Amino acid sequence: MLKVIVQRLALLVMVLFFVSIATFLMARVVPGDPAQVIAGPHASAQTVQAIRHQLGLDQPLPVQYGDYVVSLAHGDLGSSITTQHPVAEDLKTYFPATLELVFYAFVVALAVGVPLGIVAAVKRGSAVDYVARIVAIGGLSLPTFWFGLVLILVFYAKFGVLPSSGRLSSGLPPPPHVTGIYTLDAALTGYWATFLDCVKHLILPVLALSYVQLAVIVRQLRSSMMEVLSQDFVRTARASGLSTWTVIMRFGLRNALVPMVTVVAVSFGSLLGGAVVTETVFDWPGMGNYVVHSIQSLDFPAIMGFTIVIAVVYVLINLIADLINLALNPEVRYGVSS
Amino acid sequence: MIRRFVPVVVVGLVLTTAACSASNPTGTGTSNASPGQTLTIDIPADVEALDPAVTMDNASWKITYPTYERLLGFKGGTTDLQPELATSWSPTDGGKVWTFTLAQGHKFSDGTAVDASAVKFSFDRLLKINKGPAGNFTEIVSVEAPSTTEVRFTLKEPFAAFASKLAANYASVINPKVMDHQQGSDQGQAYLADHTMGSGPYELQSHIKGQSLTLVANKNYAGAQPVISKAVFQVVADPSAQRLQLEKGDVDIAEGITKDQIAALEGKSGVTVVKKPSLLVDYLYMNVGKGAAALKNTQVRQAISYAIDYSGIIQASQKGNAVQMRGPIPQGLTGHDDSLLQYTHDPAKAKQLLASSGLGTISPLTLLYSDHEAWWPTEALAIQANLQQVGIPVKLSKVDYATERALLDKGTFDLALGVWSPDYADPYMFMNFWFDSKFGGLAGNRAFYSNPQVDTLVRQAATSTNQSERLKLYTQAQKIVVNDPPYVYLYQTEFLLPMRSTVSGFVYNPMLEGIYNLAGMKRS
Repeated sequence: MLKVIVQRLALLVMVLFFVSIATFLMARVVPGDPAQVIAGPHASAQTVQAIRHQLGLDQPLPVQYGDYVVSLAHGDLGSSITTQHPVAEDLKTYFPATLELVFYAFVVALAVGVPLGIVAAVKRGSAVDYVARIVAIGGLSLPTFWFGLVLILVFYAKFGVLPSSGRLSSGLPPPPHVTGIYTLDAALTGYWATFLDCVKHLILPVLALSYVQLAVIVRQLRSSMMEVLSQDFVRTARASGLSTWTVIMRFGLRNALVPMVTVVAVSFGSLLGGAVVTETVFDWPGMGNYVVHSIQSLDFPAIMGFTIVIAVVYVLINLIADLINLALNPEVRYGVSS
Repeated sequence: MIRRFVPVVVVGLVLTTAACSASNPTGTGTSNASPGQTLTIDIPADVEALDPAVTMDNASWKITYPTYERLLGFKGGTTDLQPELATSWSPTDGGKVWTFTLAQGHKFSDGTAVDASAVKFSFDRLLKINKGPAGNFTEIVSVEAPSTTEVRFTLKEPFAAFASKLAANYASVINPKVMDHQQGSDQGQAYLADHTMGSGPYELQSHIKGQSLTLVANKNYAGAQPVISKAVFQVVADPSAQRLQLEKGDVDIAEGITKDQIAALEGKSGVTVVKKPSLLVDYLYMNVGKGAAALKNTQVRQAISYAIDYSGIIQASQKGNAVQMRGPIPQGLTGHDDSLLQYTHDPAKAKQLLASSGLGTISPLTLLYSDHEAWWPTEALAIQANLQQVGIPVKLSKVDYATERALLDKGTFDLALGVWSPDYADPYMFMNFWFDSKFGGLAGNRAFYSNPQVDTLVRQAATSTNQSERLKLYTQAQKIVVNDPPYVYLYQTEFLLPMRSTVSGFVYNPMLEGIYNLAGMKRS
């Protein structure tokens, strides 16, 4: 296992190198001049050139990249052209919001999707199985923005029981900062009214975001479980008198989870980088909103900083997924091929 | 199975009971109750940096304009200037030197007095930072504060419109104590990106990134304390969500509702839609100087102007929420002349003019545009159809915005769509930038138009300090450029703002579009 960790960390450095070059070149090659954006439409050529010089954009590309890599080595992701703040500071502000949303969405997706997938596989062909499959198809087919808007129309506009946007009610300040994850911070500091307000604001975006993941989990798990439950060793376990619960959970689910882990890990990683649609519909101030705004403003440092961070997150999540697979699957652990 | 779930149910009941009596620690974590009223405004996106010396973003100005004061302000809903920090001002030395006398008693939000040295500091800082806003003050040679109540600007050359620039956001006077927050040599930019240090009726209380900005009344403001003691700007990107919140009364003003949805709001009980002519204009450049040879012919350009279906284009692009231009200076700006010729949709006249031009068949003209404005693709198609109807073939050339700007600057196009809005309230913004031959290219004269008579008129108007003489000169110049048009003067857009009918006191100023006169507003 240690060998796997070391190999993956070495891979991380290589991935970061290629990602940084690719992002750097793409950001510079696409038409658009951030200096012009900052200077405004009526600026003189001299003003634009002065800003370009201030931002270092008049340097040759290799020099710009070299300066960037040196800063990166010191943990400096540069300063955002639009917010004037260090990119690292901006990401620290927006990342917890996305993490909070994605985390709760996954908890809901797992809490509903896993039991539903199991029951659908065990009670194959039953009414529950049909419901599960319809739910799954719905999650994969319905656009997230549409589903989100329907939730807003029903629960906010029609019944007025839940808020339509944001993380907190207007005028309510955030809880004292510990992690930036409002529910956690509120719970840790005893701000229970704020905690409740945060939960109310989380319900609709979590439902919208979790639905897609839930659908993936139900389909994947149902399919894996059905395959595992049809294996000889499961028949043998049943025949040996073990309880249904033990057969399903210890023999069926444990083996069916192996392919699930990678799928879920990749989904989690991609959501951290791009829950843009949900964040836009519900005005959730997360990374998705931040990076879209950065792209529109040609904010090179923010775009690159975001890409580097997401690359790191992806590699680490895949590492965790592989370690879980190692723990779950002896064949992988001992390098045994079937 | 049931036994497993009983503890879960019990825990759930306990949590529900706790939630019902949830509260925050006493005296903290709850919204501060202000004695005055609170106004809630939905904005479509978070703002960028708030430093007046850095930001060119109108969205940021709506936060900074009420929190700072400037030497001059705008009178109500007009573009006329009135005293603000300055009680009087006068140009001398032919308009090269401008002297302002400051009022007494104005204080920054921390209680520091506003004096001439603070004004000098603000402009020196603006020019030293040298970002977008500094581009509007390139004529300043020096700013001096000979006394605590006198500020003197020396310019490179006489510039009659100088005073009107001092009412714009980037002329905001900043508390010199911003230098206490300087990081490295940044002149306090990082600090002012998220804070305000002005003497206006409001100050920024909080900015929760991506969520909201809250302004509260500045207790040290020299004027009367406003009725609206707190203004909350909430970031709500989705227009449908904004509309729902406005209809339900959860917000007072919603800025980001699209034009097609605003139409549905008109007539709804409890909602008022403010509709006023904006100074944002949409027009078609005809590249006289570097484009197709046919465009050098005045009759061809007049024919193009008569070929356009103005009302059709306004309906298609702006859902009818625009007013056709009459000459280059839009309604609402000093210098607008209602007696000027306004082109009409007259294809017969257009064909007649083309015939009398003697040019015969005209080669296809390229029409350059981008997605920079959402309505441009529709507009380009309409213009192509209009011109083809009179026998002028048009080839559409859609490029990305950055490429478009590069081509415009070089003059590599025949026709192109454009928008323009003034940075300060003076006819110079249109007449000089659009028609003076020295501003060829992106700077403003995108038709590369060169008419020595017009050059003389607009340059004289730029330096004369006699306002009525200036207006006469600009009127003469306008007559020339309407009859010899380098642009098709399409329309000026309308400013639309839906708000609850309980909001009163809002005064729209065309130079302060998207900025609220919070100190004069209230909710009933």
